[in-house]
Amino acid sequence: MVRVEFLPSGRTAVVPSGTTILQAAIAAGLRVESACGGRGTCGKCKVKLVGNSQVPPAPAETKLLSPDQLDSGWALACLRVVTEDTVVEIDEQRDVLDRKVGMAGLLNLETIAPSVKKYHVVLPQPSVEDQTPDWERLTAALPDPRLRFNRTVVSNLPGILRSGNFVVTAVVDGDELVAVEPGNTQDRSFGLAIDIGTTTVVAYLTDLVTGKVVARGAVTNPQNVFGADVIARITYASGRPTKLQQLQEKVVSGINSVIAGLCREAQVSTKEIYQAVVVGNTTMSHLFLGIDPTNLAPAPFVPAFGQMVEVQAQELGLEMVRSGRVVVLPNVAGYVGSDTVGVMLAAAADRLPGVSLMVDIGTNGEIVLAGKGRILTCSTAAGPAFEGAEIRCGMRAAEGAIEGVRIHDDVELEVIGGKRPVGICGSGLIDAIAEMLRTGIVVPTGRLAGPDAGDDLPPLVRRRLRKTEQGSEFVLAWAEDSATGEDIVLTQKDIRELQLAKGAIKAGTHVLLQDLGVEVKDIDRVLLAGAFGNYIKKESAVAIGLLPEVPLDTIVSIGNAAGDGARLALLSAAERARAAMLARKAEHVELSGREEFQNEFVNALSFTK
Amino acid sequence: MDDKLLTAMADLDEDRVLSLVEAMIRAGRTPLEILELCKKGVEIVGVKYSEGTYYLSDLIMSEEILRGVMRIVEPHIVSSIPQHGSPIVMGTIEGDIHDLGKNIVVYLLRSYGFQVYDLGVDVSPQKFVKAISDTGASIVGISVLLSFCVGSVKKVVDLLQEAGLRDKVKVVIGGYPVNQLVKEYTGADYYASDVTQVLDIFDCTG
Ligand code: B12
Repeated sequence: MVRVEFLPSGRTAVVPSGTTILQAAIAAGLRVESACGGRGTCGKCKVKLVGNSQVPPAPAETKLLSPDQLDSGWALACLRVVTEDTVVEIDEQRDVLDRKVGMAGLLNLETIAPSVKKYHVVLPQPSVEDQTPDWERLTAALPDPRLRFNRTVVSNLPGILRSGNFVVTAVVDGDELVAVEPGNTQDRSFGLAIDIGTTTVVAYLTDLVTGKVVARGAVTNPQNVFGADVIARITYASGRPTKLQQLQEKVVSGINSVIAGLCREAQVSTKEIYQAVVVGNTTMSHLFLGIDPTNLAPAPFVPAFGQMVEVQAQELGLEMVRSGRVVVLPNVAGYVGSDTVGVMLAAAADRLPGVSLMVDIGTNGEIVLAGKGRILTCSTAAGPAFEGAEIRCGMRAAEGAIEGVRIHDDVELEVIGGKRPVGICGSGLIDAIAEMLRTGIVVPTGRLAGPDAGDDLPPLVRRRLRKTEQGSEFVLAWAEDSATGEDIVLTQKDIRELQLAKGAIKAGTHVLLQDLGVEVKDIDRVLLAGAFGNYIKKESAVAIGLLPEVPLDTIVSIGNAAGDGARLALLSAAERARAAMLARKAEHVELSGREEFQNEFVNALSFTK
Repeated sequence: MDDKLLTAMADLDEDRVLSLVEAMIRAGRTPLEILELCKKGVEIVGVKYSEGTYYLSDLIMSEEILRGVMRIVEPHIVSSIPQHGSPIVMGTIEGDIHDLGKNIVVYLLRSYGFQVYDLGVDVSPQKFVKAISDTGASIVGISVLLSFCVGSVKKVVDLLQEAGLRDKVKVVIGGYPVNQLVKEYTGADYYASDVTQVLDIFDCTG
């Protein structure tokens, strides 16, 4: 086995000698562009080896690369094999592009047309002959004089006009005058794109002039002290207005702490943030707005609102311009929220050719299937197994988490941070089970082989199977190799837990495919949204049946697409209108009412494809 | 032959079970005897399920096989099959739509010989109470997967109290959030988190 490290991400894969760099990159969960599908004809998968390579270039490489390039270490990932530990640089540019895949070039400069507009105006000075009031004087100079009267802005308008000597910049958002600033401030305008997750809140401070993200940050959702999942939060808020307010204030305080950090980092004042676009699951949207979420928990899961909502920042207590608009994108249903609308927007779900499957693998597992001019959505309650919860040695994807497992003569682990393992995270769990299936340690029904069963297993692997009072288990790391001083194991129950989670997602996918009248082979692309999609090894996800059996290169991770969708809606009024259209167009498929779901679910539990 | 049927059932060997059952009918064995053997087989399946050896799909497979057995023996049934204890009312609580776990419990109880009235999902406390008084059930099984809906389970118990039925019926609960604490909070009599416990509980209460 040889170890291949990829820069700049530092991700590694341990692969058999003779593996191509492309395969190693895939094993490391990275995407390398390869238009010809590994035939060595397109030259797109160019990578750079750090240090000298012992392997001579393949004939096709010498055709597509100049001798100079070859000398300085360039190689084609699909052709060059590794025979020793190797460090490879993957074009950073390509990495960035990948993360934007699905954004369909929307973020180019022409389309930057936020609803926030700045007008630099030189007003006539008042005089005894011209006693026009300040508000009327200002609005008369703006393109659309029929702005709504804004008490907050007018409250100190007289001072601002005079301090600027009647040369000011007016900030307008739709029919609202959001702020007035002395002088010309047209080159400075900022907005926030915020993705409120049940566990993590992510915010992007975005320059509304250039469209660039100037700083990004994340914070643990401080509501988590009231319970880890949405049901717990709803239960806490339900029927108690003060508790609801408490949850609202909690999440806002978390966002404000991120905003403070972003402003410091990018040297931006909170007074220069004129708009925020927010996405989140439906429960998070309700709680952020302080709206009673009670009826989301029990069937029939009815939200208090579905449409796009606009409120002033001061109503919510968000640290930005007080009259600035906070826009919460629309939701589709009780468990298909504006975050999913953000994903659809970022992926341009209404304009993708063919059939596209979008999956956000998390506790709620939202699935979108677009094709034949329709968009279908559903949510499957996968549960927290993918986040490492309910798993004996499970943990979040943090330092010390096992994220990769290979089984040959013995078990080889990849650990985040490269140190001794503490536990296993969701992507590691998927990888482990895929390997255990491949080697027969787990049979397709999900049963773990007993110590007596694994006859054809290498002795070192077989030793790891054992039976305890609680059932069978498999030792991933022996106590002496772990950071906890205890064996790190995968139990039969852990496997069952994963089966429930992946079964729910697989069954949901199948019901949507059926409803659209297409089959797995008709799927043109699978887009993985959310952080999990970045880390998951595609071939393992397919091997355990979490993702449908499609060619691996059609599975693409699109990063935090929900947040990207919020950014699009922030940077373009047209995109925001499209978000509203997508939410209306999306047909929600309620799985709990579906006869077939149960059958699909039970069938989807086993590891047969 | 008896042992063979038992093992075939426990091993979920459908073809073998069905051909054995046909042979036994031809040999003049009574449907009752055959069903008794199959029931014992299903019991083993249940135990293996609890141990983690078998999984949901296996349970459903056993259900499928049992249905096949019924198709063969039914025409030969002359006297009615004796029912086990008094009837049981089962359902998933109001606001909750999860029914897989409940269906499994219902299936196991039925194959064990209990008469079960399955009220389905999203069942209101009132409906539970009405079904109990209508059927004269002495056990009610309530499935709850959403922690939010635990309060409604308590309501069933409270309503039973009001209706003066509380002493006549044992309340058994189960599902994802259920534990000792939930049992105490709701005032239920028993709780179960896996199927072998389920059968034990119903056996000694029934
Ligand atoms: C399958 C599933 C669904 C299916 C339900 C299909 C169906 N017809 O039942 C679908 C996809 C429809 C669904 C929906 C929802 N679900 Co759901 N679902 C699950 C899942 C993955 C598995 C449940 C299951 O079937 N297990 C298998 C059965 C056999 O086990 P069991 O039910 O526990 O039953 C056993 C024992 O508990 C016991 N038992 C059960 N009942 C009884 C009764 C008695 C009397 C006794 C004695 C014993 C007993 O015996 C059974 C046999 O072993 C769980 C996660 C999990 N890991 O459990 C979430 C889960 C239950 N769902 C959850 C939620 C929140 C939902 C939703 C409300 C929201 C969502 N999307 O996440 C939605 C509904 C809205 C919507 N539009 O989707 C949460 C509940 C969290 C909480 N704190 O309450 C869970 C735990 C996932 C999670 N952590 O987020 N879900």
